Amino acid sequence: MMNPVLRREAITTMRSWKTYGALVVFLAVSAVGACLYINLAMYQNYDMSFDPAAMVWLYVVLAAVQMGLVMLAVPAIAAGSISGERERQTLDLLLVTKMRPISIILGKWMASLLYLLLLIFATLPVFAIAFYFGNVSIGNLALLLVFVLCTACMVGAVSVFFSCIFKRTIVSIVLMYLVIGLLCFGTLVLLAFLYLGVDSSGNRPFPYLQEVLVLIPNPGVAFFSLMDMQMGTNVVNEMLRYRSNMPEGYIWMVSHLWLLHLVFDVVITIIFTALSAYVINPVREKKKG
Amino acid sequence: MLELKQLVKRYGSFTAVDHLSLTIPDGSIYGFVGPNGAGKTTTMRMMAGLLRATEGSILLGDVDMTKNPRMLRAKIGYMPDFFGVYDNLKVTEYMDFYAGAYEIPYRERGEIIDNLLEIVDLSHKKNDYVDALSRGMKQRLCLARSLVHDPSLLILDEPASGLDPRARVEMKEVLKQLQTLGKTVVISSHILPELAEMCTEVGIIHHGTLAAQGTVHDIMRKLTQKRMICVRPLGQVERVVAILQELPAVGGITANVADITFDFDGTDEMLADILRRLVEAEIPILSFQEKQGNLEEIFMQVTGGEDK
Repeated sequence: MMNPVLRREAITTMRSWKTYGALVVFLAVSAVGACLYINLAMYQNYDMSFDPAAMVWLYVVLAAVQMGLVMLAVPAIAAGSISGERERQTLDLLLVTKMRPISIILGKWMASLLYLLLLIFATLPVFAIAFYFGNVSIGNLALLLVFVLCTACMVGAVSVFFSCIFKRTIVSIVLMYLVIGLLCFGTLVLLAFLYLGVDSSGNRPFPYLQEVLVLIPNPGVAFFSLMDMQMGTNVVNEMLRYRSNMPEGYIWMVSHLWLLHLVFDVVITIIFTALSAYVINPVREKKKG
Repeated sequence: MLELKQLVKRYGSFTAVDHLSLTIPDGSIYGFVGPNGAGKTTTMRMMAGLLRATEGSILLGDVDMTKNPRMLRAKIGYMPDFFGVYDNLKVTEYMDFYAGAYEIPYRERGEIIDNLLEIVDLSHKKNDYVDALSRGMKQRLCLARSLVHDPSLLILDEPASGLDPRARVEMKEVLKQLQTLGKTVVISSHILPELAEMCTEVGIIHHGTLAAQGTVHDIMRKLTQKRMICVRPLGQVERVVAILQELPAVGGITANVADITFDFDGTDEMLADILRRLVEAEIPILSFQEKQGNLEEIFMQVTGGEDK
């Protein structure tokens, strides 16, 4: 049986004109943007021919747009999931049913990703341009989708957790954007402090492991790590691999930051989903005794 | 049978419900009365499994709800004092959603929903959007929702609050119908005369404890030492007052234009003797009856006139 919360959310979401309005706008912007890019890329060549390398960059740009969409849209949707139920005074009505708190949370969490999935799959034809003209393999595209979805799952799970804790949706949304900001930029600042420590002491061993550990939660660095792997670029590598005598394990970790980030996403998703279910359970104190 | 045993709910140093014990027989309509903050809603939320009791137990049959809240949710229908509705959802979809949440098989839902909408008189609105219904209709829909899994116990917290008189009468009719279906109903309300009319028993909760319990009549008898009698003669009010003043066990005589009320502290035989004396004095008596206490009076007496 389909999760009732997910089913209801799907019905109400798909019935709203805002859903289609946002979808049309997003698709229009993506398609027009891609067409403009192709047009400009063709003008670069005197014979107006396609440059496959330019199409590869179209793929990177589209992938970055999807990541941006995850970072911006998922908190806006998921951070209101439980607090929205509270505001509508429907949470108690849900909690007195036979649904377990974890089912309610999973329903809400999946529902918050549902719309994002729709947007991502709707943009696949635009991706097809890069796939067709840019020689981007279908494996790369599939891996990108997995990466984006895992990041969305993590952002969604933490957003739902905030939504369980805070009564007001706006507080959850703002806090989630702060967390995303900390993950994307705070980790880089922390990294800078790590480097500062090394430079000032001079004789201290370089904190290779700490460096990687600080960067694993960063979705932006992980994304560029994936792009590095797929496109053969060296954004992350150049950021970190400038020292000699690096341990081999470190090199592997740096080149697989995207994979480590995926594991991080999965772990965080599981932890925060379980925490959310614990928080909304009205008789949770029972387990203490 | 629902049984609350020494139920306690504390929030820090504040005790909302203080060793509350009561028994509600199957098939009864039990009215819960008390001033604001007395602990009614807290008690009802504990019964519904939405709050964990600090101490004590809630037994439905032989099963302790505090230990098996999920199992007992299947047997309990809960309607809070607000109605939560979703935008963009039709009446049947709203019912279907909760039927799904109660794990009712999909093929059975249609018939159940149709029957319930018929009971609450909303069949003609089944394809309307929930947020477009009137307040009374939403309240009835919420009642139908709380019945979707055919619970044996219904907990209704202020089901008539905010409803206009007509909607209240409709709600009352539905509750009477539920009683005929053998449901046990626990209901709290501020509209005391309606509760008195509807309930087989009432419990007055005050400062988290049960101040009085029983039928309205029983509680009145327990609380008032004296019985209040009302005599309505055909004229000759002064003569009736004069006769009453001479009698023992009679006090607090109040003469109105057409009737006389007095407090009586004696046996039924003594009361019959008063009537005989009035008749022997050739005073035409239109009525001679014991005045029934109403829930409002009981409530004011028990709670010392605090806010309902």
